[in-house]
Amino acid sequence: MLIKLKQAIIKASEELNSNQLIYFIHFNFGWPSQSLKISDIELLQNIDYDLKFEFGSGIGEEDLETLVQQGFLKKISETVDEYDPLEKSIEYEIIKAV
Amino acid sequence: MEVKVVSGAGNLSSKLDNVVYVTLKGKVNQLDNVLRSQFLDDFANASDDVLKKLQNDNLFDVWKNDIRSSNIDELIEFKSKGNLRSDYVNTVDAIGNKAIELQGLGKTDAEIAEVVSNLRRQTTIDFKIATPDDMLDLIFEFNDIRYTQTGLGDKWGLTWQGALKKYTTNGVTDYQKIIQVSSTPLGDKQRLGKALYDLLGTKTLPVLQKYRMTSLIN
Repeated sequence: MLIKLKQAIIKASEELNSNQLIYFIHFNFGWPSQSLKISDIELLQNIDYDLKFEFGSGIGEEDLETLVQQGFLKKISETVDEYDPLEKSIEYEIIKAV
Repeated sequence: MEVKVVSGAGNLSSKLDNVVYVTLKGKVNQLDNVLRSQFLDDFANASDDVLKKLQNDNLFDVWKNDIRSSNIDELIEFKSKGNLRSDYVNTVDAIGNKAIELQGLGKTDAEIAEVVSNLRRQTTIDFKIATPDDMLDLIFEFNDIRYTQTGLGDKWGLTWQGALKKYTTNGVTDYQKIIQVSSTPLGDKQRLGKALYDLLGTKTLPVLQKYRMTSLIN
């Protein structure tokens, strides 16, 4: 799964000419909702990237953290909602050379 | 690797040696020690009918990945709702397209935000049956603490009025943010397990363990 995720991020990054990756999560309706975007394009809803979340299992923040540890991503910032600590946005820089 | 015999599971191990269960036995042997012990414990006295269903109806995978239950009917029911869960995911995904459609019709951000926020909330309610009852009870309690008690919503989560309150700062409402949260795809069950545990405590563990949602809990 991590290899597919890296491939999808590289492909999207090249196509969209951006190295900025944004992860967002909230719990406004009970079940968590999360997105992964480059240039405001949702990677996880795009079937071309074959990374659509499955109900109950899929890519999560911990996978992105693993990619940071591997040096593929660099965490730039994390913004937690002032009133809701479960709602946050994390910005990563994509290090393609790895 | 051979199936290890645990207490009370000798009968099951003998049955799995039958060539009829070669596929099931292979899957059991691929489990790690914890899961294998659970399986041998859960189905120690399982009938041939149950073992055949586990093997031939892919219920073994449901037991392994989705719900730890020795009740074959519960496994069957969970599996039967697979399409419903897919529909739920697809319906949530489609809300983003609805926002784009409304933009094309010249609607304001405020109008779009109200439509998609209510749509997302209604989708959650419409698909309540996709979530098992014991899990839904925990989610209701979770939402009551986070939304009912804070005046932002109810047991189903954020209401439109709650969204206005949550995403208004210094009198300015961030309608784009409301549109974004309403159209964000569904996430990972492990993340939900962690959030439920952090807010509601150890009483959640039996249900979270049952639905194999404890991998992020330390």
